[in-house]
Amino acid sequence: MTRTAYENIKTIGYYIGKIVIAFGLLMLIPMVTAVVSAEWNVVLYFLIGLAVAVIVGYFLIILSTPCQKKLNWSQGMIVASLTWIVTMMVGALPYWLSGNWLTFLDACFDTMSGFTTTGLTLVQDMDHLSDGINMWRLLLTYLGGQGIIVLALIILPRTMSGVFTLYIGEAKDVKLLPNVVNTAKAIWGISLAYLVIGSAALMLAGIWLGMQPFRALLHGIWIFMSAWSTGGFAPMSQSILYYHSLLYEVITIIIFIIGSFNFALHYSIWTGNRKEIYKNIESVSFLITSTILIVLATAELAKTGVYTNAAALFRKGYYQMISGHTTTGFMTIYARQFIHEWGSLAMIAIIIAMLFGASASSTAGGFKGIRIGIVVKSIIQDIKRLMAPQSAITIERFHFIRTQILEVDYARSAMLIIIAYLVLFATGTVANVLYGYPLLDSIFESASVTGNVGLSAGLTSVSMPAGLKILYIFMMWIARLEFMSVLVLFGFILKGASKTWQKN
Amino acid sequence: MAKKLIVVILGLVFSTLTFVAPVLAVTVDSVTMIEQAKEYDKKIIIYEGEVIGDVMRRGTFAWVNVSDGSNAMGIWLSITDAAKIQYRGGYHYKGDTIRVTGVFHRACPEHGGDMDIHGERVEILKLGVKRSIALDNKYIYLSIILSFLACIFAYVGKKRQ
Repeated sequence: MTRTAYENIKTIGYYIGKIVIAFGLLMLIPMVTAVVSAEWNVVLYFLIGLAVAVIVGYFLIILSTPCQKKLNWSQGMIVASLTWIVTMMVGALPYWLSGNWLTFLDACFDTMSGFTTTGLTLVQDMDHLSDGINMWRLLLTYLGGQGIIVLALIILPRTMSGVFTLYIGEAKDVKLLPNVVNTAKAIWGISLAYLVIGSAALMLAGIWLGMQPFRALLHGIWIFMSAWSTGGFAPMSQSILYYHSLLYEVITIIIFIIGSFNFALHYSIWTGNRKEIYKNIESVSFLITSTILIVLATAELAKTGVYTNAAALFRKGYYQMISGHTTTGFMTIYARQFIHEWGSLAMIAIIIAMLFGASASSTAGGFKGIRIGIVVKSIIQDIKRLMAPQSAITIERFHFIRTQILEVDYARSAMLIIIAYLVLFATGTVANVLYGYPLLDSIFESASVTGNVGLSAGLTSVSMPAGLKILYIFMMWIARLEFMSVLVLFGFILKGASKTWQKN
Repeated sequence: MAKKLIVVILGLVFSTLTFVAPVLAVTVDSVTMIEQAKEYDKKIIIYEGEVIGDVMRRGTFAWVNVSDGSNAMGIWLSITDAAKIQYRGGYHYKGDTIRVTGVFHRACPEHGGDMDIHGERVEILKLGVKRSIALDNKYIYLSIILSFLACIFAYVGKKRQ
């Protein structure tokens, strides 16, 4: 190994170590929850998890010290992508120890699903889960929604330099404030403010629905964390159907739509620029695509005749569609109802919604509204160019915080990412089919994983092959990080491997 | 006289149906209900499982969710029937196992299209219990050892920095 490669690894190790320690400290929150709920074994699971996080973190720091502390571009990208893998393994420990996940792989699957705000789960006996474990599941989702590294930037700002690369590596490219640490603080400030308001609303709704106040509070916090992060995990196996309540559905819809907005849009509105929401390319794109897809799905559902009145038709159709489009994954129907009762057109509509996703630099997944908007506008620009005289210059603009001229580079990079998502989606679909699942189920589940959504047609289960579980973990991870940092990691590994090969 | 006769006959038919229907009803599990929802829609069925989570009162009725191990199904009960439930399943408790006889709805028009069962008769098959969850010694030892190791690593790591 060359000296440079060795130095690179040391710097990467140092930063991952720091972030793993910060991540481990978060286990204190479910630990306290477990103490309050008198779940003593669960306290031990988190104590073990915390201890392992500290050991792994400091072990990496000890091995890496002394090292160059300023991160360069590729190091930042690698730290961003590898951190998600290391924290997945550490975060899976309490799950695995609880016995509610049959294997460590299943526990890792759920941790990655939470981090990436996907919401697919392999948990066993969910309705008897402890409060401590539930708090960890939903906290991981909340944490993943804002970004693990975004949080680490706040906890460890003084010891980290070159951190903007880390931030970019986690697929957050919006700079709300000139300083990246202040941007991270602003993101968490927005999320925590909504946490208080949203949890209180859900708690009051829960009490009104007949839940005991403490349970209503816990469910309020958990459902908020999941909805805001467009995550899709829920404390009960029936997801939102458990509550049998229009009020709960309305509140969660509001939360996950707001949660799916770009943090730059949030910041803009919070700082007084309320008109931004009407002009922003992402909110406009979301409004158009969601309206078209909901109309399609509702028309098909009306044709199938499953829902006999308009209220039921709208309530079921709208909830599932918006949940899919915002990449949340909350459900008010059973997974297999998609296959048996939704009809082909409604299924196509929801698959497209899941792939489109919501906003960039938000908690959501999918292609993202800004890319769809840019690609559509660039197609319009091309058509205009074809129709205009040869000497005419056509300029297309789009509004995202400020009005910008649509340049070819924007369209090309948007298209590249969309193609990458489509390749991932096709890979997942083919793999599902190769493992023997029906085509429609395969397409649906692959779209859900690619878009980090969490809606399921019933394919994701504990009995699915280990190979498919590993593939899904990989798909959730690469899709959430929007490819770049993971590709840099692979490039780094391949480069190292080829040098070693040449030496030998 | 004829009117009285009709009322008596109708009364007899109604009461016969009321008592006979549950006998004719078939026991259906949640997977079958979901997979063959169309077949069982609006039919009287028997469903058995453990009460989980909350009993959520809505006026003179209540929602109870009952799990048969594969899925949980929402049951719409009168509060008199709901009051029979003593234990609700969760981490600390195994809930009452109940048998519900009622009408299955693939997409209930009264409840916003929910797949549910409107319970007409509820029997407690087995009372729930408080689960005895003893502290596991191996986890106690493991947490002590790992915490000790973590302190050592933290001390050395801090010094190295």
